Amino acid sequence: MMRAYSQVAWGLALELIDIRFGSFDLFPDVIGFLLLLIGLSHLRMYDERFKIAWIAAGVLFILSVLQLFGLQIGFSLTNYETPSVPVLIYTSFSIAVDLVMLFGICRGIQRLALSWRKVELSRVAGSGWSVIFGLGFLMLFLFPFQLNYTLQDALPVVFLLALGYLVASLWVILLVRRAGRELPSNKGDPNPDPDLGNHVDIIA
Amino acid sequence: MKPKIIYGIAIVLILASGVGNYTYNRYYQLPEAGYLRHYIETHVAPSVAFDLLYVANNADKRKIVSAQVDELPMLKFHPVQIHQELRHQTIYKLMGYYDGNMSWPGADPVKLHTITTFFSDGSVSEEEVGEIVAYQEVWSSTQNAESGPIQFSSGRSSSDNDGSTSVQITSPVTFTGISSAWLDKLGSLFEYEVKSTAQGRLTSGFTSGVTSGIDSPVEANASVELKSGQSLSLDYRFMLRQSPQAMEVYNLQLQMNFVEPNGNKHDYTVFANYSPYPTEAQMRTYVREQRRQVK
Repeated sequence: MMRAYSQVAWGLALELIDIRFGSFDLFPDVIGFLLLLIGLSHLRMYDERFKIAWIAAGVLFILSVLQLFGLQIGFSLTNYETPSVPVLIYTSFSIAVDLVMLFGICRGIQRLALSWRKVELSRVAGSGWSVIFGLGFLMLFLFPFQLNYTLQDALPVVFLLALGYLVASLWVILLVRRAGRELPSNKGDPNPDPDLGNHVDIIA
Repeated sequence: MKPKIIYGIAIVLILASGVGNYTYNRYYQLPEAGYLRHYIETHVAPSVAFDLLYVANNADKRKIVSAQVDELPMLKFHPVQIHQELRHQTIYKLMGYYDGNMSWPGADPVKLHTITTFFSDGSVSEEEVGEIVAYQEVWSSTQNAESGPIQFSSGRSSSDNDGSTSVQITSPVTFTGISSAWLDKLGSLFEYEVKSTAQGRLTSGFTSGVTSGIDSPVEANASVELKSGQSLSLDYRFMLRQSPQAMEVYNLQLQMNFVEPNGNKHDYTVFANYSPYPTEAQMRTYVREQRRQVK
C-alpha cells in the first residue's frame, strides 16, 4: 500500500512540475497521470473516494493524451488576450476534474485515517481539502470573467490565488506521503465513528 | 452546512458565472465586421493619401488584408495595422497610398461609397465605407504654393482633435471665408475660429466663422481685407469625442478662401482630421447600434 501512495505522490509531482526546453516537456503530464492511475487503482479498493479519484485521474490522463495531439488546455490570466470559448471550457473542465481527483485523495485519506483512528492525519486531510476546494472554486468562478474583462487589474489577487492553488497541490503530495507512512496496509475499521476527529476525544 | 449543499451552491455559482459571461460575450459581438463611417475629402496626390478604419470582432477568423477602389485604381490600402484593441473588438487601420499613374476617370470630383475589400480567406467583398470625396486637382502643384500671396507661418495639430494654422500675407488679399464638404454635416460638432492682425491688432472671433450652434453659418462669409505682412490664423476643434457620432471618421480639407484685388482666387488648405479612439463603453454602444440595424 505504501508503494501505491508513493506512486500517487510521484504522479502528483510530475503533474505539477513543468520543465520545458522549447516545446519539449521533460516531464509530460501524461506520465504523471499514468502513475496516479496505477497508484489509485490499488487504493480504490480501500475507500469509495479513492475510486472517485481514480476515475478523475483516468479522465485527466485522456485529456493529457489529447494535449499531446494539440488540444489546448490552459491560458494566461495576465495577458490581454481573450481565450476562446472552447479553450476556456477545456481548461475549466480540466481544473474541475483535477479538483474531483484531489477531493477523492484527500477525503479518501481522511476516511481511511479515521478508520485507523489517526485523528490528526484525518483532521489535516479534511481541512486541507477545504482550502483546496475554496481556491479551486474561486478559480473556476473567475475564469469565465476572462471572456469579458481583463484580470490584469486584479493581478495581485489572481497571482495569490494561483500561488495558493500550487502550494495546496504541493501540500497534497506531502499528505499522501504521510498517509503512506502512517496508514497500515489493510482496510482498518470498516465502520468508523462518524464523529471521530470532529471533536476532542477524552479516552479514559 | 452539509457538504453536499456547499458543493451544490458552488456548482450553481460556477455555472451561473459561465453562462452569464458567455451570454454577455455573445451579446457584445458585432453582427458583422465592417468599416467605420468615413467622411473623407481628399485630393489625388501622394502626400494626402488617407487611411481607413475597419472594426472586427477579436474572435473573427477572417481577417482583413487589403482594399482598393475600383473608380480610382491608383488608390490602394495596404498594409493593415492595429489602430486600437478593445476587449471584444479590434479597430484596424488600412494605410492608404497612391500607386502608379494618376489617371482620372472624369472632370468632376469622385464620390465613393464602397470599397473592394480583400480578406485572409481569399474572399473579396464590396463594403460600405461612408462617403469619400476625391478631387481631381493635384494638390501639391496648385495649392498652398510658396509663390502665392499666402504663405505658411506655423501650424499644429494634437491628438485631442484640435489644431491651428497660421498664414502670412505677402500681398494684399481679401479673406472671404472657410469652406469644406463636411462643415454642414458636422454642424456644432466642429468649432473653428479665425483670427487676424488686420488693422494692426489681433481680432478674435471676428467673423461668423465661429460655429457654435446648428443655426450658425457653416461657411464664414465675412470679408476681411488683409495687407502685406499681416497674418491670419485658424483654430479648430472637433467636438465628437462624447457625441453619438464619436465612432465616425472625418478628414476635412478646410479651404481658407482669398481673393486678390485683380479678382484672382486663392485657397489655402488646412487639414483637419478626426479618428475615433472609443472607450469600452462607446464600443458597446456601437455594437448595440449595429445589432439594432441588423434586426
